[in-house]
Amino acid sequence: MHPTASPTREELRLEVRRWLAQHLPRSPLESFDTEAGFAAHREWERLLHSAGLAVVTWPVELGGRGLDIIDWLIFEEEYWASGAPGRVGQNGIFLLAPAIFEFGTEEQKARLLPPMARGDEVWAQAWSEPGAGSDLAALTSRADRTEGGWRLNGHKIWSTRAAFADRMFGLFRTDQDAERHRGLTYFLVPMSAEGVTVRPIRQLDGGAGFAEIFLDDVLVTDDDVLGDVDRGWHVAMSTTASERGLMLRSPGRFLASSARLLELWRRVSESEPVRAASLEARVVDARLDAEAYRLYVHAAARASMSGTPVGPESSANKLFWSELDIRIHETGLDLVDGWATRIDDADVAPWVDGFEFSLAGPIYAGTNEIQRNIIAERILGLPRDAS
Amino acid sequence: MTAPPTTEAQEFAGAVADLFDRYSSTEALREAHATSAGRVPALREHLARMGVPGLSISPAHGGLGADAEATTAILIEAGRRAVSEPLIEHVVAAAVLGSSDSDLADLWLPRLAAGTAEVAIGLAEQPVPGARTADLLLMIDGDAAWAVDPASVELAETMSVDPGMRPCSVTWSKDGAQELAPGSADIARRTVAVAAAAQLLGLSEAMLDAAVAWALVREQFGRKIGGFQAVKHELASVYAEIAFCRPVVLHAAASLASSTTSADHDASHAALRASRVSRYVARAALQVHGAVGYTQEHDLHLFMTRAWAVSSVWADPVRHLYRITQELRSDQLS
Repeated sequence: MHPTASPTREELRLEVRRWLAQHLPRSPLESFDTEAGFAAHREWERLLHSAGLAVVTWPVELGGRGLDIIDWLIFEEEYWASGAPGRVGQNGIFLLAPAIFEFGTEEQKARLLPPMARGDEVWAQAWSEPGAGSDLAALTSRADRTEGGWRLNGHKIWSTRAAFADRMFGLFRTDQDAERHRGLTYFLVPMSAEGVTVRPIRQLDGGAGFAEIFLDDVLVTDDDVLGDVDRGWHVAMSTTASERGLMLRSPGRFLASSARLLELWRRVSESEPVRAASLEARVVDARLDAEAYRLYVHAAARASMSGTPVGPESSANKLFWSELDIRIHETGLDLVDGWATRIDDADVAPWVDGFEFSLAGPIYAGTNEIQRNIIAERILGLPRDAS
Repeated sequence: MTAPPTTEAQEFAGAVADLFDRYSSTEALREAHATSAGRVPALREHLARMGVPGLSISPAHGGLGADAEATTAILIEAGRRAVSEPLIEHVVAAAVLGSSDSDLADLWLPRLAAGTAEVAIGLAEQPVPGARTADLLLMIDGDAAWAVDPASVELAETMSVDPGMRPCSVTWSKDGAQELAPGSADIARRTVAVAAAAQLLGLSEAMLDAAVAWALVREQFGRKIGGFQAVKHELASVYAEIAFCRPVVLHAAASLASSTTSADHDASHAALRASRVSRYVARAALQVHGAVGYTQEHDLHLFMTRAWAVSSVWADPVRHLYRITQELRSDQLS
């Protein structure tokens, strides 16, 4: 039984399913961490937008359908089950947009959200710095007041999608005397601005999935500030709460990959029964964990719709999906005899790609060590680290 | 749909939880364990007065007619306090006997609801908790379920890891036993799985709470051990496992209440996950307590042993894993 079913929701499900069946690319798109692949994924975003499927929860006038979060979960189930391309606009849509909705001015919403929905402006996140990873509040990139705006200087790193993105969002220190998370401001910066230099970094899988960004006297205006000056930490944390919570990784992804794992396992059961039998328990566990994740997220979504905000509990969410994703893909690889020397095989490649991508899960969006600290301190009430 | 429980159901669960607190403290449990029945007499009386033995028995048979979700809320509370009353047995009897309009339902359900009779449930070849004191035995054997007169069976006491459980191996014969309606065995199995999962969830929550409380008072190296990252991270992992167990249990209860096609799957998933989580939480809680947790002087063992027993008797994770594996082998996704 689906945890949250209703006739209108089922109509949406069928509409999305039909549309995807008719419009899916005939062959998989090249990785969006290449220039050509990025462009192809941008076109896909435009096509999604034309069908009203890019940002279903946004208001109609901003490019969405005004649907609730349960509908979004259903959309996601269909989206990932169909094998549709990854979302190149993910950072903007799921990390930045919630902050714009909460803290942006009306002018910012009207200016920034529609092009984001259309895929015309793809955003890169720029949180980390060489000396500020898990300890994000140690960041040193700075913004100084100039006439009519701000001058940005600093060095961001591990910036997802930055190699080809149009714009970036990140934190800069605006009060040089304030300590740690005080005195930071949330800036929105065009990648084309003078003084921005991007150096793509080859990731484990060879793609340029993230980059370093050097900012050298980059001039921006007050309209490029999101939320209040010196209150950027607060704005950013509201985004990371949504990041860890419901929006970043919907259950649809893991329902889809665990269903593919089951299919693979059934095929291998015919050709290599001993291998399949050895992995049986892991396959079943992966499927059940994906189901548990769906039930948890649907319960959280219903709670959120009835007025309970997503709080530090979202850290448990991040732990669960990131570790599940690795288990699903490790098991998928183990079902393939000699996978490591057949990564060019079209049947094997998606498992290898998925495996390598899954390994980043416990690192990005706040490492799982940080998530465990958050749970221990803010939910269980254990003491903060004595260092 | 796993709608949040209604306020009325919540209020009732709260009132029952108060009773558990008052009459089933760990001191009371310890005293009860030293007696032959292993149970707290005062709690039994007060529960009967509130109608809890008839919780999920229909009003027509003198019960409260609570649905699976309201029942689950109370079973979770019972788990949180390691209550040793035969609540699971009553819930299973209500589901099995209440599902057909047999004379057995008319005969037994009013007495069970009033708390004047008790029932024991036998699953497969396992020893049966409470068989010695039961007035009625419901034996689940393969595809069939049987109502058996305790006077007609041979009992041999066995020993449970849970000091509050009084099991017997039961030698019984189908001659003279009454076979229940077709489907009763399946109803019994999924009802017991969900009921046990709910208790295990409560037991897991209680053990996490105990471990956190201990980590906040126990000091080593001049600081509270709850400040060490190794301890914090382990307890955070425990929290996450419990957090992902709860919606699975509540969903299984909702599926049971509305008899959806996935009710068997959901019940097995709940039993499997709650069993595994409870075993993991018990081990982690013991590790955080250290040597003092490895004693009978400390209360933790009451919860650990109860969790092990409930899992083994009512929510055997191996059987449920096997069931789900068979189902997934044959291309059924829920």
